[in-house]
Amino acid sequence: MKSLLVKTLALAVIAAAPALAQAARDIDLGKDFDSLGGNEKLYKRAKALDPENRVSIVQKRVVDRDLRLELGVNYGVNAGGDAYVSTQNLGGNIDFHITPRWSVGGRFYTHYNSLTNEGRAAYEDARRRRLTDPSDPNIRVSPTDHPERTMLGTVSWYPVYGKTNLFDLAVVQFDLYTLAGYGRVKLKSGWSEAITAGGGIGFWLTQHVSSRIEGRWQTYEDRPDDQARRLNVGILTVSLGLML
Amino acid sequence: MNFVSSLITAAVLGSTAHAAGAPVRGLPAPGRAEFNRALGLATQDKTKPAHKIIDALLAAKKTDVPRDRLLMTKGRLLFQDGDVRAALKLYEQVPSDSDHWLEALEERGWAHLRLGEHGEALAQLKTIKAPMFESLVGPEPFFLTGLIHLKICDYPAIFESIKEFKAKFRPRLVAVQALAANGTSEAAAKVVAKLRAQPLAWKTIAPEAGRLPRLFHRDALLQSRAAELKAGKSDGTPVLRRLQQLANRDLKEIGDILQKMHLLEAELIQRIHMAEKPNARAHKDVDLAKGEEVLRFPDTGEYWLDELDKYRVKVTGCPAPKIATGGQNP
Repeated sequence: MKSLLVKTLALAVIAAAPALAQAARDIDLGKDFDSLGGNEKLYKRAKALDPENRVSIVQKRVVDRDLRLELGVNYGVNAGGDAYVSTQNLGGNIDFHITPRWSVGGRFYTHYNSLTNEGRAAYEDARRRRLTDPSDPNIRVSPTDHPERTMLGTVSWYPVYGKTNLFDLAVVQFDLYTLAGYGRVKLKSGWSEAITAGGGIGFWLTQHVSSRIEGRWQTYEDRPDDQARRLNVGILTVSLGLML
Repeated sequence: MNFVSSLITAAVLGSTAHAAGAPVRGLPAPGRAEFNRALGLATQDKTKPAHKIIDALLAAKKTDVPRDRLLMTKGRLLFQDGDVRAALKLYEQVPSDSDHWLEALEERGWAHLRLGEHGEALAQLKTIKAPMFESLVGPEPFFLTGLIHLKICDYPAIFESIKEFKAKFRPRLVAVQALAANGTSEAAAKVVAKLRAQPLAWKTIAPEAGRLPRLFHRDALLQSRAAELKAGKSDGTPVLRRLQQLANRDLKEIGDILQKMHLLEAELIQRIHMAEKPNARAHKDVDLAKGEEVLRFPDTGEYWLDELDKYRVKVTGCPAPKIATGGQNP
């Protein structure tokens, strides 16, 4: 009986040995894990010896802009200028990218003009007064010399690059740029020279599609009432382009 | 970023493939028998005939062995021969949508280490340790990272590697230990339930992958067990049994690396006590191409998809050792 009991106990121990060994190994592994690292004093000492190795990301431009032509269509609004006229623009832009940092090109607009609230009020007031007293020569509103078309040559410099996560769909690279230009504005009264300067941001959406948001200051002379007047106009434009 | 993460991992993993280094199972097909023979020759250190077989398979117009697997094997043969530079060129040909891309990155890390290109080695490992690959990567890249940091005497970075290793592998260790001990776990049961209706693919098992043996979905034996389960020929027990075996394999792997990490830590402690100020001499920064327009962004710790495999590490020299000077006589 005694020997049977001993044999049974021995068998039980042998049967449990693998599970016990596994459990012991698990405990060892867990202890081993927890004992790794954790010495804060040593960490501080190590920090004093920091060799300042640095990780950076170095990547090529996704969209190659060496010797590439960009053609675009744009829409814009003017701010400033003649207080009686509100101007919107539809047009095109062309940029020849010599390198990713420099491009030369042009901007072309057709202007669509309407009276501002102030202008409409001035005309309405004059019309009412004219109805009351048609013979009064002082009742008049200065005529507007609104722009009809603009053509500019530009040079752009792209000193700053970046990239943005576009709604988790794609990573889009962009460049901030400044531009300067010279050209001519066709007004109601005739042609006038124009100078422009400004900047913008160009998004290179794919190898062949681009988009820009551009803000420019533009100055030219108009001639309402045959008297030259210098105007400073702010122009904000958005465009969509095709890279060839 | 979860949607995009699953896209990139699906692209990386592609369809199920056989584990690199293991013989290809299944019916004999053009190339498989020769490939398995080449692997056998390589394990016996007979690399010359193995090279001939792999070269023939690479040149063949049609073979059943995937090209990326052939590239990996050829690279490993070259590494075995000591031609590390040539091995690196092969590893670099493995495309990013390959099942073996992450392994190729790791082996590129080892190759760069052997060539003394520590910055390049660290750059490969940075990609491997991106969060989107967490459940696919084993413990060895963390040891390799620590080893490289030891070589370049970046002692704080070794501590960071150890912390990172503990943070990423503790939860996995607990889950895999439970599976190994009990023969099942919550994650394993979920996967078995899914496999009754769906094939064994990354899409199916991705949510549970972090709590199960690494790359278990690529195990050839498990694939056949899963196929039997889907066909209604088994009750799921063979799948669980194989998962348990793979869990034990994982525990052994983690245990081995843990031992090496302890040795790393011991060497680190000794070095810290011996070292003085860092050497400010910096190694040359490695550019993608000389003269080419490149964009540089600082590493902020965020992982962007377009930056994977685009890291560069600027490493400096080791601190000067303390040299004992003569003291005053008492």
